Amino acid sequence: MSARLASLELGLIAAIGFAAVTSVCLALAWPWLRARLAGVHPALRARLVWLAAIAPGALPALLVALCFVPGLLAAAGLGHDHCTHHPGHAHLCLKHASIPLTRAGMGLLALAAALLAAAIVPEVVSLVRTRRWLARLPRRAMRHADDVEVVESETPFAFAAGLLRPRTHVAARLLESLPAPQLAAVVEHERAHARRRDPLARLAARVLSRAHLPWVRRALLSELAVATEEACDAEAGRRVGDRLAVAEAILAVERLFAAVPAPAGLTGFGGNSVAERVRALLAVEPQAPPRQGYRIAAALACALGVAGIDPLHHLTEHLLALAARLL
Amino acid sequence: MRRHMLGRLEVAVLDHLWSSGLAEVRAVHAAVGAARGISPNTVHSALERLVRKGLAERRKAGRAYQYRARLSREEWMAHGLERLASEVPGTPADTLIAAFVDMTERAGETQLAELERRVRARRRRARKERG
Repeated sequence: MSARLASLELGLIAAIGFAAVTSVCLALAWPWLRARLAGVHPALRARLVWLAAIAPGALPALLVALCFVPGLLAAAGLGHDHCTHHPGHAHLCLKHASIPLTRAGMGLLALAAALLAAAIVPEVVSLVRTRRWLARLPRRAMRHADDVEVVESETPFAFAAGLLRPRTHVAARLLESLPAPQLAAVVEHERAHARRRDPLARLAARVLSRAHLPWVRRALLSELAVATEEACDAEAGRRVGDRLAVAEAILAVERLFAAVPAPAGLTGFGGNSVAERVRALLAVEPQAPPRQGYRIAAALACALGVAGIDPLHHLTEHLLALAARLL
Repeated sequence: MRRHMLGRLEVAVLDHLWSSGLAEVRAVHAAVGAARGISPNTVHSALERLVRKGLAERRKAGRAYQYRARLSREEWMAHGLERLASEVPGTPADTLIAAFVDMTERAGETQLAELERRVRARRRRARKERG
């Protein structure tokens, strides 16, 4: 097996280790984190919960990529090649030979590949089916709002759909049934979903959260759904200048749905987030996070990542060597 | 009712059956197929698919078959939620669309009435404070 392939396999094993550590840490921290997030603005809450949801999938990939940076810099002549100074242990380097993999290591890799396929395939199927369903919807542009599509349907739905350029869809039934202020609230809510690219964020969260413990994943995705809806409610309230109109629209749409005969097996009374959303709209809106705050946090994370490359690289190599001896 | 996904042609054919009541393939083709540039055989296949899906029925009339819808337009519309939920893969709230309210889970009547009462009270208070 070539040194390059062996190094990549070591990287995958390191990623599994990082994912396991992240998953366990977040499982332990989630009750504490959830309590702290209760009074936070829903836009920030949604962002933090999303980061927690994707962490076991995204963080290992990022950390492993950082581990390979010293080797890549050395290969490009931009850094010092240290591999020859540490013979006899694993090297996360595409140039130098690494220790050979054991059967247990290969088994772990096969399991990781199977889990990855199990996470991605259902989402791809769902994506294709949703696109087909959307393509079949009979629709027209909304008057005075080119970004909104009116779907000729008696079911009183409104939704944003599309991954890269989400579009707002509103059923003709809603146009006929809701008074203007409530209709504006519905449209602004869905536009907020589209601006935030929530369908894409949701897809990423569903795929990358697979490495969480199942009950932690369920709790995170549920919290993410509520926080996202509340964030869009808050934005719709700001744009129409009336948070109560948003609450009234939610209840009016819920009433319209209640009038449609619901199929057995699909109805879960009291199981949706309507009550939480309306109560949030009746309460005073928490202070919105400053936009500058996101940039500062991102800059700090980048600085921390750059500063931590070398220690992370060496620590990971030593841990891999230890794991190889144990396996 | 069984859940089925319908293609655009099937929806158009069903729509024609609702308008005409009883129709032969030739009439359905004249109304729906000719403008689309498709053959009577394609329209016949769409009608047969609707029969197989339980949405239309046929009976022999001389040498040809006559078709009619098994559900009225109103009955079909009444199943809108079921149709929507079955045609969107999985639970709509969990898929790739961000819905205004969850399409498959309803708040209970008591809870809904209580929330409406609170919002009305808040609206009255806001009006009083303004005026």
